[in-house]
Amino acid sequence: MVQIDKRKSPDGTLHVTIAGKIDERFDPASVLLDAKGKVVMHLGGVRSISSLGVRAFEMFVHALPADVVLVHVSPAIASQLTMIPNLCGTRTTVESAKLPFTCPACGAEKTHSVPFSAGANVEHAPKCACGAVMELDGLPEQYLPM
Amino acid sequence: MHVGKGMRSAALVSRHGPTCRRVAQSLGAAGVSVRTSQFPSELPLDGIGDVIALLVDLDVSPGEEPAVLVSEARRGYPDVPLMATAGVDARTRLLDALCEADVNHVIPKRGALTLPRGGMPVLGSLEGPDEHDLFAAVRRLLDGPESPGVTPYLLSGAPVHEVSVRSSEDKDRALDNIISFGESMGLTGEKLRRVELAAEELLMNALYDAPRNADGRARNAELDRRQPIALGADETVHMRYGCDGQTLAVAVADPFGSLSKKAVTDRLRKVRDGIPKPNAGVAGAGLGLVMTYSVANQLIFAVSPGRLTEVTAVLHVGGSNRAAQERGTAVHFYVASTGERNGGW
Repeated sequence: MVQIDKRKSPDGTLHVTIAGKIDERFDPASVLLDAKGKVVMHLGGVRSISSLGVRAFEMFVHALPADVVLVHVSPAIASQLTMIPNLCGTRTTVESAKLPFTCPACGAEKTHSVPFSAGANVEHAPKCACGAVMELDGLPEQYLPM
Repeated sequence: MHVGKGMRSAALVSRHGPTCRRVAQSLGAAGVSVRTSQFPSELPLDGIGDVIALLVDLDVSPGEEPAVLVSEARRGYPDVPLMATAGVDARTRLLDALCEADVNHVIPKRGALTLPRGGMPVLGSLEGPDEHDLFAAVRRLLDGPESPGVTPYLLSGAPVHEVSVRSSEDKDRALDNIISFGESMGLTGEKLRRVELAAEELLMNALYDAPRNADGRARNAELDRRQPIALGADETVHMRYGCDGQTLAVAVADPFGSLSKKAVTDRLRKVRDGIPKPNAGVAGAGLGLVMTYSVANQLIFAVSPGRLTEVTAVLHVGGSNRAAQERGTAVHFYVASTGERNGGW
């Protein structure tokens, strides 16, 4: 089940937080109703997206009236954005991805936001509490543009 | 080694030591002896018994074309199932072989997607194809394209769970079951997402894409996938799944037998060539299969035309998410008899 929360900032930007699973039941009608200008979408909580969800999300983003910024996109979303680079069209900017990292020294795991750009998993890798630099738990090309 | 008449054997074209060793080991364990040659022209054409498979290693020398190697090897063995393995540029070479040649089995070498400095794996850093994958593939070739579910892909004794699905509600219940199963094993994050995604896309295909009218045409081609669906009483879809601690497998079988290799390869070409933006149309654009390919470590299609389609996704969940992704995706296609119908996925 997907949860959608909305908040308007003083400059008129609509901040939308989507969490849960995006599938064929994804219904963003309430967001489309409120979106008059720029939309910033927080997608770190999207745990899963199905192929029908991808289609529904694509139609949703294209139906928004102005520029869209995606922030903290989850691995589920990031993997679709890398697989289908033009998924969200030219008015959409993907700012950051919240990806899984592991520590090669002690095995600790954490999620960490990095810029959605090639090499960001290395350049912006988090440090573990043990002091080691953490590594992306996945192939970079699965989650980040190459 | 000479193999007598009635003995089962396989022919292998490879110049890669670890591949030769792994193939001999896996096929030997399955009761199949392997005759290896470095070049197709050196393959023995007789005296090697009942040949059940031809394996071609696509890691060729610079200037050589993998496709030429395949067709030269094929010339000597026109009728046996053809398998390909690769480590260098593995995804592209294996998809080329699967989509553009009559190769029905592609298996990446271990280490193929581990990109060292420079971006391209070198032969010396590669192991051969996964032994367990090869063993299971050859056993299924020997046993025939029936519906064994997930058992060939799990360690013996792993409990197998089964859910019957005839409607959208059943599909949601089946997904809840497999997610709970994964969670009960401690799967979280990307590992759990991969399992859920594979199960969901296989079920959606069986419910919406597989059903056929009496004339063989796709029954739901125009149906909006957001609309709930219910199959007939004699059209039950079965989802079977299990895990042995390292490997999780989920198989979805439908009674339509409508999936063809062409339908699969038409979609898998998008992995290689890039996916166009999804259309807003109601019929699937093949994204489900592409997504399943991207999360599975093996995809096995077994089709008995007009009678049964079983698609199995095998996912490694024992190590890290990265380790699973580095294994790449093997694809196997078993068809009970000829008769291509364009449908499914």
